[in-house]
Amino acid sequence: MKTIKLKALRCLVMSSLGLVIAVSGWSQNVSKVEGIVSNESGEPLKAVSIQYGVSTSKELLSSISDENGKFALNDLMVGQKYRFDFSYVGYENYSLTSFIIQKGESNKLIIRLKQASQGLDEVIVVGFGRQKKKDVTGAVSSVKGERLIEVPSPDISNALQGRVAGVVVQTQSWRPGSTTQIRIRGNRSINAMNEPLYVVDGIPTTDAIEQISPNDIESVEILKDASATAIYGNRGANGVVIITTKKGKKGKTLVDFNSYYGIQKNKELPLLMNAAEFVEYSREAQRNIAGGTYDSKPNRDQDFKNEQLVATPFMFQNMERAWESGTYDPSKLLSTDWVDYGLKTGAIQDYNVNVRGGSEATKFLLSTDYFQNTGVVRDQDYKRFSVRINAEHHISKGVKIGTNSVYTSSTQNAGWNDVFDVYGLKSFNPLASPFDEDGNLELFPTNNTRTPNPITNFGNTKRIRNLDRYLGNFYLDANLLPGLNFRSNFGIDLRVNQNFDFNSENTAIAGGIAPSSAANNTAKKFMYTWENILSYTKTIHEDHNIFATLVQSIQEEKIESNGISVTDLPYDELLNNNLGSALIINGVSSGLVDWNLSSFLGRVNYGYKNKYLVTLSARYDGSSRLAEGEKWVLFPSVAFAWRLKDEGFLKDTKNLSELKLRLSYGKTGNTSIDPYKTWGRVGTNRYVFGESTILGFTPIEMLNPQLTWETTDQFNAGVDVGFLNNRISASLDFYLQNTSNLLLARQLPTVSGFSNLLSNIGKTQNKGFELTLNTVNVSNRNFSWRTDLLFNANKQKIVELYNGKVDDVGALWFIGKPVNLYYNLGFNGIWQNTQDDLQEIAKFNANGSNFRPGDIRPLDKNGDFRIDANDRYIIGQVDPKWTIGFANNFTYKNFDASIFMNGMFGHTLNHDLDLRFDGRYNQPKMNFWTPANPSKEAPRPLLGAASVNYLSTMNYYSGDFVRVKNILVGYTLPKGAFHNLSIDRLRIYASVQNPFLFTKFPGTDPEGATGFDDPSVVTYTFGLNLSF
Amino acid sequence: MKNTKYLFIAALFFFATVGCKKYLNEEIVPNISYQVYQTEKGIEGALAAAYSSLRLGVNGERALTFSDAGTDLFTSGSDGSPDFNLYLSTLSSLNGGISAYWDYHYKAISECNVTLKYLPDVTMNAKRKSEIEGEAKFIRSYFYFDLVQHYGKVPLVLNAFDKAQTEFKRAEVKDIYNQLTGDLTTAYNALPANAAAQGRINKAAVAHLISKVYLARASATSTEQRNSRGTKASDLDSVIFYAGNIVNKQLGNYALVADYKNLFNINNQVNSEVIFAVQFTNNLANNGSGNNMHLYHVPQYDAVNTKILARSIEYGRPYRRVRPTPFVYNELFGLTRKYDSRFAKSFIWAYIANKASNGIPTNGGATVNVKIGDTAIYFSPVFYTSNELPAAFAENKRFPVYLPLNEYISNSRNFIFPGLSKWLDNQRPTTNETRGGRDWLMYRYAETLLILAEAYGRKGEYATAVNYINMVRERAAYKAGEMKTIQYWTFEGGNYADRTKSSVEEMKITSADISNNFVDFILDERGRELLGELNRWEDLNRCEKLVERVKKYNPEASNIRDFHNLRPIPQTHIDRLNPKGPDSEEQNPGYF
Repeated sequence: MKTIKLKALRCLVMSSLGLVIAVSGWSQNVSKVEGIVSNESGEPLKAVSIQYGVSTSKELLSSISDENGKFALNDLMVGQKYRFDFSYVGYENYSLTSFIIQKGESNKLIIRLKQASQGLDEVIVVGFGRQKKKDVTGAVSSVKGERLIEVPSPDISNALQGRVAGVVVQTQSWRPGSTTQIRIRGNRSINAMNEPLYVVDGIPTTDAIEQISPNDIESVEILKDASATAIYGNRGANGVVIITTKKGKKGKTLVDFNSYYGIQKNKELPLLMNAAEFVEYSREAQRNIAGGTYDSKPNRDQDFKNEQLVATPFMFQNMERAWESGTYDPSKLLSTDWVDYGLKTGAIQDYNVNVRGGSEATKFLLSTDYFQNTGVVRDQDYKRFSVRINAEHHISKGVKIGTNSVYTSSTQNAGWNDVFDVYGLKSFNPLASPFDEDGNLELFPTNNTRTPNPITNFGNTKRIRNLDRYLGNFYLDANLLPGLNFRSNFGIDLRVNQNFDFNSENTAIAGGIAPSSAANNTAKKFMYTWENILSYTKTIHEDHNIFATLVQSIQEEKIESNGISVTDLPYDELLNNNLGSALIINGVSSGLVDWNLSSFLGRVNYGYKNKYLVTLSARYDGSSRLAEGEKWVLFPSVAFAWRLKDEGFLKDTKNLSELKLRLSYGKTGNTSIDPYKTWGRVGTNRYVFGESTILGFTPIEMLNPQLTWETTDQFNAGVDVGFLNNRISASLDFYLQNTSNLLLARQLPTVSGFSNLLSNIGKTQNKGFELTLNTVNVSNRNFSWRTDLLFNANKQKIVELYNGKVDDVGALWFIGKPVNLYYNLGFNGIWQNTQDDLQEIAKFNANGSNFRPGDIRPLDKNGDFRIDANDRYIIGQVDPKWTIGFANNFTYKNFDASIFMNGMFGHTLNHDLDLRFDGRYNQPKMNFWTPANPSKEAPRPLLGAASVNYLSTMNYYSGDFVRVKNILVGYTLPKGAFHNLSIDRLRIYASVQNPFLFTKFPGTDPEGATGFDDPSVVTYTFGLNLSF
Repeated sequence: MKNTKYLFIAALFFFATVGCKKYLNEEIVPNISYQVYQTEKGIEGALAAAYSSLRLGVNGERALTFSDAGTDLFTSGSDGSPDFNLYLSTLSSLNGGISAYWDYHYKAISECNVTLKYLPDVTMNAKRKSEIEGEAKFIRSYFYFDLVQHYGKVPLVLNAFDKAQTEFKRAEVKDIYNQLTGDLTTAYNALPANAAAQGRINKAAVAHLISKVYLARASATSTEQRNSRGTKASDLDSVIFYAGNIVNKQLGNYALVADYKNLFNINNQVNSEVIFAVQFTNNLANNGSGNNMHLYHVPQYDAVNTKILARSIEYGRPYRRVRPTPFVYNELFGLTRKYDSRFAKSFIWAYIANKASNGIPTNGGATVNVKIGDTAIYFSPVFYTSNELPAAFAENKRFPVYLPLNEYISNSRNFIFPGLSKWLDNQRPTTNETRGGRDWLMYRYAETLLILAEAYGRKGEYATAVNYINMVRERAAYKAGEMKTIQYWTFEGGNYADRTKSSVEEMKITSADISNNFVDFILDERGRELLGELNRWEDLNRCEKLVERVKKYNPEASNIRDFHNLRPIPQTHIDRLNPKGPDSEEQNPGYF
């Protein structure tokens, strides 16, 4: 046998192939090629896709490597030039274009595939097609599936957090099963939605994306600029997230099992007063009432007349204990930690089995996933179950049919709102006990009928949110003529939402001594999409590449809903299962919403010498929601890219591996006008004359026949650059978005009979930049270190409103300012009992105020000694001004590790702790003012007022934070360890999520846990990736 | 090539839906649109919507906050909000209560305007058409009357809009009064004496409202207010004409209910004294959010001793938003308090145990066994000096909870007090049900008599005035054979022997009693008769007595200033105006 080294081939140097060895033996007319595919360190790769054929023919055969990386391709024509294309997920593609088959027993190839860095040669999904990344003209980011499951995450949006420049993912609530908010390049719309459009295997959808298991995802692409999103026309304005699920592969059936289990602990909620502190606080409140005579020192008689201290026998005994010796000894008080009754240790777990395989003609993937999160707050949990089948069958050469279908069922126990807040656990007097002498729950532990014991809710209320969903597409794909492909795609999205509520009788949620109540609400949402896509690829004279796409599509969604709510069921065991048995029917409702969309679109990509790239697209959209004559709108786009690297003058610059400039413009729309808006709306109510009923008709919405799409003109300029064989690569994008015909629910003086009217008036602007920097810092046989850094900044402003460049204070919209902001009176400390302050107080009180030392001093913005509407000002913006993501990945031999951090800056939080300072309810420990303690932080307690005035001025804090989101260490067992068990890969890992938070914010968590809400959590996870 | 058949399929698919133009048609199946107003049913519905908006005053605390809170008669209970009760600086244009009241009034006005706009083009019976016009104008006038009394100058909107409208100027107070008298005259002429159904507006209802409007204009005493309201010399005669027509039985056979207690008996809601009542029902499906007034005057009786007294449907759900001022218990009923059954009948003086429990320590220092039906809480209206107090407690030690005035008058005890009983609703299905079914008795014959008396009194014709006042006071007296309450002989100094004796003679007044300080007398009499019936703030304000009497009788509200005679215009209104005038034009003085 003779070994030939083919190192001389140009492609070997430039591209992905490490080493090719060809061996030829004897033959007659046909021969075969055998070989092995491995990675750079020599480990064999299984299931590598191999496409091969005679170089001059268009027809390619395909095969796949086995579990040892070996492959054998038979019946090859001796003496012919053959082409071999190797591709494998996570590795760069390699093509051997003209391999001459030698006579003899066999030809041998040894292929080493190079792991893909952030390669520009990778193929990514763009709307209605795929493109090589280097040919893309727009701002598109791609995240491969394996990156999404590197770190355990319950859903895609969590996994995307901090991964893509320009995408801001914010946790809104830490309740299990709650959704995160995704914004691509900021908010554009004031009134309509700012949610991006999700396209799952070609089916456009906008909600419940958390129902798709990250384990099933091949890749997620995020289309950010208008040249990329314009082909989604009237729904592209907020960016598009394209989700492509994994597909089956030909060859040996592969099984993956991925699982993790973790425990969750809550981050600390704001610290409440204990019993001793509460007693002091209550006394202080008594001292401050008008004409109050409460002793400034502890006084036994007064304490035992103070309702807040001795309302129940338990509290009475508690106080007696403290006074037992005759002098007050607070250390004798028993203190109840009420909040603790609402917390538990949470668990999170996920199990996924995924089977892939197939033959030449038919490929499939079957997968099932079970996810559960019990969360850290009692009565809350979430579980999700899904089964998927992705299958494709070749009917004949070039013609295939297939489906990507998933059924998901999820159940959220939402728990009850205000578990901690309002009159929840945090409000309870720490002197009181939740239990009576017999250990049963006391319904009124402080003898206050307004505040029944919230612990009675646990286990006695239901807040079930079920969502069953079928999401699937069915397609026919045919290569009609060389280069011409037709695809017809029919997608169904069927969702059934069920909300079941139940409250047992005599619970806090029922209102104390009160009957049970229950409600069932169901909505069925059925949506179908049918798209027909013609695409044409042609290369003319080597230099001219044309890729053209023509699409026609229709879509309809129909939502049918009904609901009923009742009170007073015969017994609690019925839960919400027999509403007909209730004594009182509170309400019955039903609804229907139906809308249609019809679209035509075309796109041409043209490349000249792979250096000059142009994309032109146009989409013509028609919608049922708009009035006659306003239904159709055109959304065009154009983009240019120039790959400077391939120009003669840069071609030989060794250190520069890529340089591309991109420039684009496009127009997109926002569909979120509710159906039927143009017709106006009349609501009904009922009135009686005696006992005869009459139906009243009251106008709710004005007629509005002029409504049209909100549209955004978007400009993008970007540069992609790579150095040192792309070991350092970066993308930088600047964008400018002008949104016009803004859909505004403009506020009207209610004198007109309407408080608002949805109109197309107004303009906003977003501008910003995004930086993605990926570096491979170290890469050698044993150790590698990779860093990804993301940064983006976005500045939003309102340019114009319906009155022109005039603020709408009523709606809190200000020209030149962001859409969402805080506008209120400001905090200027606490009034002190000093000569200076008393003089100032007198000036305010002369104008109608009634300040006293110890009161909150609001900021008199205009200095007129009168606190009124003119003293309000913009305190801060709701959305962050800039965000960062910073990830480091390490491998050392069989170990891998990663640390990921993210941060948000420049936003203001409304941290409402539900303070009252009335001495009746417990609240966070604060340094409150007393005559002896001239605090500047918090006002004096005051009995008899439901709350102290101007408390809301104390709620605003900077939201800046940096979070270590995840630290992970993994270990892949060496290959040899499992030979007998036919296990290909076994990786175990441990991770901790959300371990560290760096912020000045005083509450639980600046992200999604301000005030006294469900706390944020730290999760400790162990995971397993197994393949066989 | 065999794939040409797919080419054909492709072409077929591609054009399959193109031709279907109907695909984008929108069928408005789930909603009702404006076309409904072109029908008779629709126009009756537009009017019914306006009637329904009348309920909103008592659907929440709107009317309570505006009309009773912070007057000489009511102050904040322990769960009340201090801003209105105490005239704090938070009673500003930013206050949510300020805009909520404004908003629902204008919403209702727009429903009347919609009715009046579409009415002319509807084909229907001409007589009914003019009745609808009268009903709509009555309701609109009712709402504007509230607005002008509370906010002063307000935009006078008489059209329904179908385009966004942001330009609104405030009309002069006198122009609003002129509009009201004009509209109500139209309504008076259009409406029949006997309405087609219970609760529909009839001639007497209009006569009652228009007499209130004329009286409000005539009540101005300062030159400034007379100019502002456009007071005319003939106003009092107009009051006498319209109120007189009711009293002279020209508009129906209205009469006082013999027993004051029975007037508020929930089983006697349809009675001879009702001139206009906003309708509610015990059928929750037709009751909207219901009448919530039963909540607001109830003290926290269920937290006093949970072993013997639990919350019940009869005693109500204790929201304790307002409580009577010390003035109401101490002075309002004056020297005839023990003869005036209204004092005994307006409050809950005793709570009866609904749970049995032994060994209950009483606050008089004894231990008692309580059976269901025993008295659990007993209030007495007497204030004792510190010397007398121990004896009073000792004497009443059989009551588990005995509370003399000393014990409930202070601000720190404002959760427990004798609460107003008029609004209680024991027909609600459950204890905590907020959606009560009691009608809101808005105008009743006793008030007509007091209006008529006030007009004569203001003219100096005291003898005639006394005549009508005594009709009201005689009804308030105990009748012969009627058993007085235990208070009469235990605390009020009455003789036990007189417990069933008539007190009609003691209750009668003469011209000499009223000629000296007539306005204060009539305000006191209205306070006694109409206590908690949602008209006090307006009464004080129209008489230019608000600040004076609140300062005098409601010590907690001592922060009240002259500018509180008007409420602030809501900031939400001013902020949305375009063009917008300076604060001095858009806002009332004192609020900017």
